[in-house]
Formats: sequence, C-alpha cells, structure tokens
Amino acid sequence: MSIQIVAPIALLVLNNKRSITASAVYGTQLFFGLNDGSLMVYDIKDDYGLNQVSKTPNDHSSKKVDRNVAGTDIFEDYDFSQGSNFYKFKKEVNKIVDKPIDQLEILPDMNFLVILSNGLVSIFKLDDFTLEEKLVKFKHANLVKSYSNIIENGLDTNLDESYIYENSDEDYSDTVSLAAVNSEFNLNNHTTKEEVKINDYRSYLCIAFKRKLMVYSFVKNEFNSKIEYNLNDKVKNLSFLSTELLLIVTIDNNFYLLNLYEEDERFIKKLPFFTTSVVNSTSFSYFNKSNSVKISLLKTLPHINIISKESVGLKINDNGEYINYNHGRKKAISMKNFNRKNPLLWLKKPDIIKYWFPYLVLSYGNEILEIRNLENGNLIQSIAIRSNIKDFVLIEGNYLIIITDDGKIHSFSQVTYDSQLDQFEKINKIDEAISLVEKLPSKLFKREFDEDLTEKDEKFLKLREYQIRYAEILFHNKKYEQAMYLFISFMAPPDIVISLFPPIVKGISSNNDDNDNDDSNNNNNNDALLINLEDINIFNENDAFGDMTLPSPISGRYSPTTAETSTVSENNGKKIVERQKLIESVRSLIPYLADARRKLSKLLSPDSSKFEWKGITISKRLYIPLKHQHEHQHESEQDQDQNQNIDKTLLKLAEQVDTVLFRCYLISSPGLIGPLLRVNNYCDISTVEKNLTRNQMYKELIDFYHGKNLHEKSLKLLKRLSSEQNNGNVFEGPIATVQYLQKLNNNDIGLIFEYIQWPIEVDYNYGKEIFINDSIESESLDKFRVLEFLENLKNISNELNKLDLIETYLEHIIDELNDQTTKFHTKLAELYLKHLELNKNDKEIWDKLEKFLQISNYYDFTKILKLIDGKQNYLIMKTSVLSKLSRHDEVFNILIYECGEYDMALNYCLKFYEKPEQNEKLGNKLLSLLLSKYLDPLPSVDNAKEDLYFNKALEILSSPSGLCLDFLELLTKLSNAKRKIPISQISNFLKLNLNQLTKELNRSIINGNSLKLSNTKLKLTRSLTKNESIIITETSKCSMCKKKLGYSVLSWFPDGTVVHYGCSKLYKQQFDDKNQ
Amino acid sequence: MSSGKKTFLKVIILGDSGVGKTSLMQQFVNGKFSHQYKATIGADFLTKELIIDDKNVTMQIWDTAGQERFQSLGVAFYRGADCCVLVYDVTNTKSFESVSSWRDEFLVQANIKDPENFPFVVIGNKIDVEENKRLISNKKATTLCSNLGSLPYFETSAKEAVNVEQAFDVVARNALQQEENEEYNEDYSDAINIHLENEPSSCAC
Ligand SMILES: Nc1nc2c(ncn2[C@@H]2O[C@H](COP(=O)(O)OP(=O)(O)OP(=O)(O)O)[C@@H](O)[C@H]2O)c(=O)[nH]1
Ligand SMILES: [Mg+2]
Repeated sequence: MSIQIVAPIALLVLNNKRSITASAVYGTQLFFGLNDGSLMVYDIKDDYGLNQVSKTPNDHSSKKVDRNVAGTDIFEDYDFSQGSNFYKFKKEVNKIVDKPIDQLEILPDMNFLVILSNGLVSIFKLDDFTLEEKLVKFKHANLVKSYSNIIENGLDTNLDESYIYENSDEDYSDTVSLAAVNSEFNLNNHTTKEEVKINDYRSYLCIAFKRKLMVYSFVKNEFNSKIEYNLNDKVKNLSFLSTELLLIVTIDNNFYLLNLYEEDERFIKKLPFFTTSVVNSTSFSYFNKSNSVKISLLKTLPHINIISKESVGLKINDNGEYINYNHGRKKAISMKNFNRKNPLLWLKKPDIIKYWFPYLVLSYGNEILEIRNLENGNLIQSIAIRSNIKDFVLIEGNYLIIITDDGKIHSFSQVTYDSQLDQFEKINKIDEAISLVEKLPSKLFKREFDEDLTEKDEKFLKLREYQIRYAEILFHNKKYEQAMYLFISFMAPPDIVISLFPPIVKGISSNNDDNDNDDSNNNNNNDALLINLEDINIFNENDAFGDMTLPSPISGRYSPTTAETSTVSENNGKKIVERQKLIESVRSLIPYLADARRKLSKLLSPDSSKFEWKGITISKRLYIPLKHQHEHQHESEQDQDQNQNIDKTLLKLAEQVDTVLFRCYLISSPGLIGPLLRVNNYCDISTVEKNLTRNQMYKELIDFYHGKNLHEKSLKLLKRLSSEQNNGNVFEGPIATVQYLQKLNNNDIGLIFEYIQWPIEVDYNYGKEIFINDSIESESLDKFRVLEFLENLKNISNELNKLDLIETYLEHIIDELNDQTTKFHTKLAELYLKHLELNKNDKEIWDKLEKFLQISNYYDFTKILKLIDGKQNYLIMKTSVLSKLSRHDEVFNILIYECGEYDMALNYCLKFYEKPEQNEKLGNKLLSLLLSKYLDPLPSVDNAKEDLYFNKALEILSSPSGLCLDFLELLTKLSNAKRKIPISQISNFLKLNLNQLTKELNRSIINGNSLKLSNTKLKLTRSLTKNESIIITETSKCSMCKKKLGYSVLSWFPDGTVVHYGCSKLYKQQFDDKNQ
Repeated sequence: MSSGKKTFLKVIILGDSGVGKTSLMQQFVNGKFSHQYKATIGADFLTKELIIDDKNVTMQIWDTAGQERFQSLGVAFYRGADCCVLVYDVTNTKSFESVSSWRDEFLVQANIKDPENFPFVVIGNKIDVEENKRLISNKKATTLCSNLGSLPYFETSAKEAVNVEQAFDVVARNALQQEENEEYNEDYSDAINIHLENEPSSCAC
C-alpha cells in the first residue's frame, strides 16, 4: 500500500522556447517570471470543486514504479485529464524588465509586485502591472523578500488551539491544575493570536545588496520606515520568525537574528550555537563554511522554523533557539514528544524545501518531489516528475504547482483529510494519522448527527481513538513505557488495555470473548479464572512471592526485553526470566489501572460525573469505549435506557479495573492489596475471595469483606480461624473477632450479638470491649437491646461475672454517656442489690450502691424503696431514697431515732442550702423540722436520749446555721418546748440574731430616707418643667413676620419666643447677636 | 551553602477538606495564618529550605484538595513522594475517621512499593479550640496511629503555631530517611518526577 497525499489535477505546457526563472503566487493567481524578462499571469479556476480532491484517484490511472522508499510508491505518469480547464491564461506582460527575472515577490496589502532582475529591484502595481518605482539605488541586489503578517494570520487559523506544540509542561497542568473545575492556575497561555492583533497589518520588504540589508516597513498599508543595516557579509537567505524577528544567514554561513522593532544595528544578534555541534555527529558537516551551500529557511507551524542545509533540517523556535524534545529528566515532556525529532534528516540534500500545511515538501534535482512529516521528517509520499524541477509553489495550503525545466507546469492537490486518514489507517501508520489530526482545526471533526458533542469533543475523540490504537501498536512493538503513557494520557478504555495482558493478569482464560453479557456469563468467567489460577501455580507452599513459579511459556503477548541471563539450569533460569517478565509487565500496568480507577470513580460519583482532561470536559458518554458508544447511538430515543446502559458499562469497567489491579498487586506488590481492598473499590468478590483464601491472606480478605459490608462472612471466617492450630496464627482466639465487632455499629447489632457470644463464653470481659468502648460504633448501639442481650446471656460460667458485665455496661452508659433512662438506673440499683445478696461482703458494690442511690435522680424510687424496706442494713441508704421522695420526716426519724446519726441529720439539712436549685426555704424548713425532732422527741424516748436531743438542739442554735432559721418562729417553738431553755445557753444565738435584726432595721431606715430625698427632687424637677410652657392661642402671632402662628410648624427659642419655622433662621440670627 | 549535593524531598499533605492542610503549610513555610477559608483546587506546592543535621535539604510540600470535587485527577505528583502527612481536625470526627482511608488511597495512587515502611506522619490540627469543642481525644488518636503501624503523631495549631515546626521536623527527617532508602532501591523507573527542574512557584496567596 502506498500513501497518496497529493493527487494530480492538471498539466500545462508552455508552448514557447522561453523558460520560467521565477514564480510567485497570490490568492489563486500564479505569476511566472521568464528568462526574457516577461511576466505571465495565470488564474486557477476557482470553481474547480472544493479545495481538496474528494477521493483518491484509482490505481489504474497511474503506472507505479515501486522504488520502495520508506514504504511509499513513486508515480511516474499521471493522468491529468481531470483538470483540463484548470489553468486560465490571464495576461502576459512582455518584457516587463529587460533581463531575466530572478525573483518575484508580492506585497498584497501595498498592491506591490516586486521584481528582482539583474541586481535591480523594480516595483510594479499588482493589479495592472504598471511601474510604481525603480529602486535604482540598489545596483547589486541579490535577494528580495516580502513579509506580511496578514498572511501569517491566515495561516494561523489553520491551526487549532488545542494543538499545543511548545515544549511546555503541558502534562504538569493536566495532572495537577486541571482539576474537576476550572483551575485558577492555567499554565498554558498561548499568546499567538493576541500578538497578531497587536501588530496588525504590518508588512516588510527586505532587499539584500552587498553587505547590506535594507528593510522597508509598512504599517496599515502606509509606508512607515526604511532602515539600512550593515552586516559582515552578503546575505544568503533570510526568513521572518515573527513580525519582530528576522533570521539571516550570510554567505559565510553565519546566522544572525535581527530585531526589526529596534532601529539600531546593535540589535543584530549573532547566533553562536549554529556554528558548533549542537546537532549530533551526522549533521556536523552541515555547518562547514562554504558559500556554495544552499540554506533554506522556512516558517512552519507557529513557533517552529526550519533551517535546512545539506541533508539536515534543524528546528528552531521563534527566538532562534534550538527546540529540544528530549528533556532528560523531564520525562513527561520527552514522552509527549516521543515521535518528534530534531534535527530532521533527509535522504540527501534537497534543492527546494517548503512548508505546505501540514507537511514539508522537498524537491531534489533528480525529478523527485517528497512529502514529509514535519514532526519527524518521515517520508510519506514521493513523486517522480519527468523533468528537472525548477520550482514549486503552494497555493493556500491545497494546491501544489510544480514547474519544470521543460516548461511544464504540473498541478497536484492534497486529497481530503479524511482520505489521508483512511490511508494511514489502512497501512497502520497511526502515528501519521495522529500527527495530522493534531494539527487540523476542530471544525472538521463535527458530525452532524451528534448534538451533545462539541467539535472540540469530536476532535478529542478522534485523536483519542488514534492515540489508543497507536499505543497498542507500540505495546506490541515492546515499547511499553510509551504505550502506557499514551494509554493514561488518552484515557484508554480499560478493557482495551487489559486485553493486551496475559490471562494470569486479566483473570480471564483466553478465547473468552463474549464477556460482557448477562450474569450467567459472569459465573463462567469466574470458573474459567479459577481454573486458570490453579493451572498456574503462582504461589508455592511457602507463600513466598520470591518462589513464585510459572509454567512456561506464558501464553501472553507480553514479553519485555529485560534480559536476565540464566546461569542456573536452563529450565529454572527460564522460569525466573518469565517470572521477572511477568512482574515487569504487571508493574507497567499498575499506574494505568490506578489512574483509570480514579477517573472511573469520578464518573461514577453521584455529585460529579464529569471531569476536565486536556481541556475537554469528560462526561460518561465521552469516556465509554468507542464500540459501546455506537451501540448507544441507535437507541437515542430511549435516553433513560441509554444512561442506565452507560452506568452499567462504567460499573463493569470499574469492576474490571479494580479486579485486575488486585491481581497485579497479588503478583507484584502484595503489600498494596490491603490498601486497595480497604478503600472504596469495585473488586469482584469471588475473585478476591478465592485468591486470598488460596494464599491465606486472611487479613486482607477480612478488610475486604468489611469494606463490602459482608460482615457475616468475615465473622464466620474469623471464628473458623480462631481455632486453627498453626504457628503464628494471628487470628487465634477471640481477639480478632472482638476487634472486628468493634468496627460494627447498630446496623449490624444482630451480628454483634450473634458473634460476641463465643468470645464472651471464653472470657466475659470481651463483652465489655464491644459494649463498653469509647467509640462511635459502640455508642451507636441500641442500649435497650444491648441490656436485653446481656441479661439473656447464657453459658457464662459465673453469675457474678454476668452481673459484673451488666453493671459495668450500665455504669458506662449512665456515668460516661449520661443516660437518664429510668429503666437503666433502676436496673443498676437492682443489680447492685442482687450482687450484694450473692456476696454480702462486697464493699465496693456496697459503696457504689450507696453513692448511686444518693446521686442518681432517675431510678424508680418507690420500686427501690420497696426492695430495701425493712432491711436493717440498708437503713442509711433508705434515707437517700426517702429523700428523693421528699419524705424528710422519715429521713430524720431514721437518722435520729433509729441510727443516732446526728451529724448526718444536720448535714442532710445543710445540703439543701448548697443546692442552688433548692430554695433556702426548704433548708430552713428542714432545719426547723430537725429542731422540732430534737426538742419534741417521740414520747417513747427515754430521758437520757431526751437530754442528748436537747443538747443537739442547743448545738444547732449556737452554731452559725442557727442564723438561717426564722427567728420568730423559733421563739415560739422554743417557748412551746417541753423543756425550759436557760437563756445563758442560747445567749450567743440570741445575740447574733438581735444583731442581725438591728442591722436590718438600720438599713431600712437609711433606705427610707434616701427614697424620701429622691422623691423631693423629682417633685422639684416636675414643677420646673411645668413652668417652661408657653401657651399659643388662635391669635398668637409670630414675633418676626407678625402673622398668626396658626397651625404651621413652629420654632421655640430658649428665651420663650415662638416664631414660624420659616422665620426661625432670621430670628436665630437676631437671637445670637443679642446674646453676643 | 555547605558543600555536598542538595537533597530534594517531596512531601504530600492529605486530609479531609477544611482540616487545615493549607494553613499548616502556610504556617510552616511562611509563618502566616488566615482565618478565611479558601478551598484548595487541584494541588499546589511550596518549597522550604531546611538544614537537617548539617544537610542542606529542599523540601517541596504538596498541598492537595480535600474536597472531592476539587481533587486533581492526575496523581503524577504523588509519585516519588518521600513522606505523606495525614491531617485531621480534632473538632471533626469525620475527618479523623478518614485518616486511614487517606493513607490507603495514597498508597494505591502513589504505587508505593513497600507500604509497610513508607513514612506517614499524622497531625491532629486545631488544638487551640476550646476544650469542649474538641471531639477527638489524644488517646483515641494515638491508638489509631499505633494501629496504623506506629505512625508519629502530633497535635498542632496552625493558628497559633503550636507544634507545627516540630511536626514538620519529623516529617523532614522521615522523608530524608526514606529518600536515602529509595536510593538503594533499583526499581524506581516509573517515578516520573517532572518538577525537579522547576523553580518553586512563589507563594500563591
Ligand atoms: N482554630 C483554628 N482554625 C484553623 C486552624 N487551621 C486552620 N484553621 C481554619 O480552618 C479553615 C480551613 O483551613 P484550610 O487550611 O483552608 O483547610 P484545608 O485542609 O486546606 O481545606 P481544603 O483545601 O478544602 O482541603 C480555615 O478557615 C482556617 O482558618 C487551627 O489550627 N486552628
Ligand atoms: Mg487547602
């Protein structure tokens, strides 16, 4: 197969003896300068179809001679019949100059046709070819060159913005800044377009003569300036790098950069590196000094210029710097420019080399014309012309006109881009297709029927399709790193990438094609996969990955070149190499899978099902593999269905990615299995289960089950493992189960109850670790159910242990979690009592109970009271309960008469004063009650006791607490008491009280007086305010205008004057003057 | 500058949104703190020159987005990391529970060859808040860290610059250790470190 970028259209034979010595093109007009000084003008018929030939001419039309140059054919004879009316003769200007025309240049915006002939430069009008000016000044001009940035501008539109050619850290921005939303830091700001805008409509005419260069500049169709520069040698060639910079090569092969915005010669910069060996040895000769060497300078894509000399083309940027695609450590850049070369090498020295979007066209003296790739110089098509090629011109990027020595003018056209792409695809030159697509404008990719996708999307999809195909080719050619780089960069669908790997990695035995159907098939897959794993005995008994063996040869297509020479026995060595290869292949796949899972999870995440990638918004639809997409296009009516299908496909892909990633880890880095299985993943359950079980990686398996909420499976497994007797069994005993249960919350409370049972039977304390744990999970458990569970526990060796467990639980929820549920509080008290029944001497429980009854306000007082009523040893505790019921009288009876705890009785009263929420009154009441108990004891009390009580009463009265009592009430109480009280004994009490009363009396008197005073003050103020009034009647007049005040707005001055508000300004002046 | 080659360390900070990753980095590198919250988008780094035991060290600290929708898709910058800092907020229980997931996610995405021995440092931030707002006790945190493999744990306040230096000192030391171990590790082929030659971006705030 051969590639045809150009196809023949028409042939024109000039039927005179003259020869063409110069040519130029403007729009569709062709200009030929002849050796007798005449000018011929032709027009290309513009109704000649579209700009490109729509289909490749069929092979019959041309006889092919296969010279086998880089796989392309060479045509010798062409059928030019299609374009018989292609050329239209327009005009001939006979002898426009006297001597042969050496060069033709056009300055369209100035309407200039510039002719160089015999060292003289003349300017003609482009439209009617009348002489504008003869620049007689230049007697020895050897080169003219025109430049207009309007043309540049036109060229720019051919190039899509998305084609970023620079050596920028594009990958840096893709991976880091282009997050799911527009990032703040956009690193790629290409300013080409703006630049053009700034320097709008600028053109130049350069004339080289002797060792000088004259540059005329024109701005906005007006002559602007002319500057003469002096150089060290004659100019050989020159080219505009931009509107600003001019690259010059002199006869002595030195390169100079001239800044045209600076008028001074000092701004001529010699480029030093071109004389040294920037380029490798093959091209070194390129720069030897010889003035006969032809040097071509050409501007291609923005920012890329080529210097061609001998058989080498060197790319430089717009600043005249060598473009380096190979950035040692900046691997990502080198990766991206994998297919780009600098310098470019030709077969031999070309005579003419030009840029014809998007290709380079070279001609060699021996009748051959070549079309080459700009990126790497690869030959794409080569054409044989029967006579020597004099020159060729390129029209608007579409027509190629070749002029030969014998006066024949051949014209070719680029075939359509589609056709070019088709051809590249057919011969699997995907890199060429990519090279082309990258440069084409997005609008060419818009398909009518798909409204969802923008043209940018479409272009991206096309590019992606090719890049993925190309990566597959690279992969098969063992260029793994580059392949994987492309797979990641262009989000290759996982199924495509995974299919490149051997079954051991894929997890699917070979020939299992229809794997994306229904569930029944899934089972088949799994079975096949299991068999596969058994066939391939990856892990031997020792469970050591280092000893992994593989049957040879592995059936996969992957076989990296890393040669590990086998020194041991043939077979063994072979195995080691195979294993090494497998591990390496797997390692190259892992970064891809990790990347793919991240993207898939983004698409599958409910709140952001899109993300930005290389400036494109990637939606589910855009991501899904192309083959699936076609399926969906047919069912576009059923949107709902379509979305569901896409989701299904995505889920399937996610499962595939994660499951394969799991297998990869298993083969090459088992340490990452745990992390993968613990994070949100889509791993196929049975694959993970089978493989981990086989390799006894139970910890990972349990983590996996946990993540998938398969807790029952985990717990069953843990139970089984707990009793396995082998060395180093980390799962021995109940600890692992308990730890697992600790991670479960109320949702799995049933499982918790079921599986904590056996650890509790081993040691009831394990129960505490679940139910009494300072964790969110533990705290989430339904307390009623937990209590019920604990109460119903059987098989606990000792009833006291069970009590301890429940008590600890209740204490935990009451003390730590501040639960106020009556049931729990009551239960705890009951349990303590029960506990004490079983073990009377448990001091600890006794104390707890005592304290609890006092402190807790939430147990069922009556119930507990009943439980302890009549039990002599609980008397004191009973007072706590009675107190809760406000049965203070009974409290005192117990404390005083039954237990003789007098201090306690007093403290009982005082306690109420401390509590802010209790009012003082209650304290007083209780104190008074206590006093009564002492002063009027029950009649049954004997005399000795009576004395004692009486003394207790006196104690209270003479203590500071006596002050709290109501004095009068007390006096009554005292006078009614059975016994007479000697005043001396309570003198202290009385004194204190009297003092207190006097103090209060004095304070009241002072208070009263001060109130009286303020009353008088207020009265005074009131009467003063009253006096300040003024009475206005119907007849009152304004003192300024003497009119009635009426109902107008008024102003009232401090001197008592009332005027209209309108008059107030005037009066104020008067008033102020008066006061001064 | 002392002689000898300069050591380059790469540190990644991960954690839920709002825990104070950016604030910690800003406090450590620039000694600044802002009350204003501005979600980090994608990822960004700052560098700081340090001297550790007479060694000149350049530490490149990568601050990442905690908010899912702002998280960067590419993870190239994970690769070649020498230490990973896991941050949570002591007043935010969820952020604490996420710590181990961040660790796992990092291990997978960074494709760490020897996960058991990769250095992580856990930071509980915002300890300046009132005691009653604090939800994660020191005990809870240290238990977690020991379960995750005796990870060093620090309690910091980016706001009041408490313990920040100390935490990053340990980060740097562990990173240095890791870097030295890595040098002996032949299999370093896919660690694409694209930023080695970049000038550190100036502070972006
Ligand atoms: N009180 C207190 N506030 C803090 C502290 N550190 C950070 N903050 C505040 O917490 C908020 C979030 O801080 P950031 O540093 O932006 O959080 P981040 O982890 O970078 O969040 P993302 O970028 O969304 O992942 C800000 O308002 C900070 O001012 C701290 O130590 N104490
Ligand atoms: Mg941040």
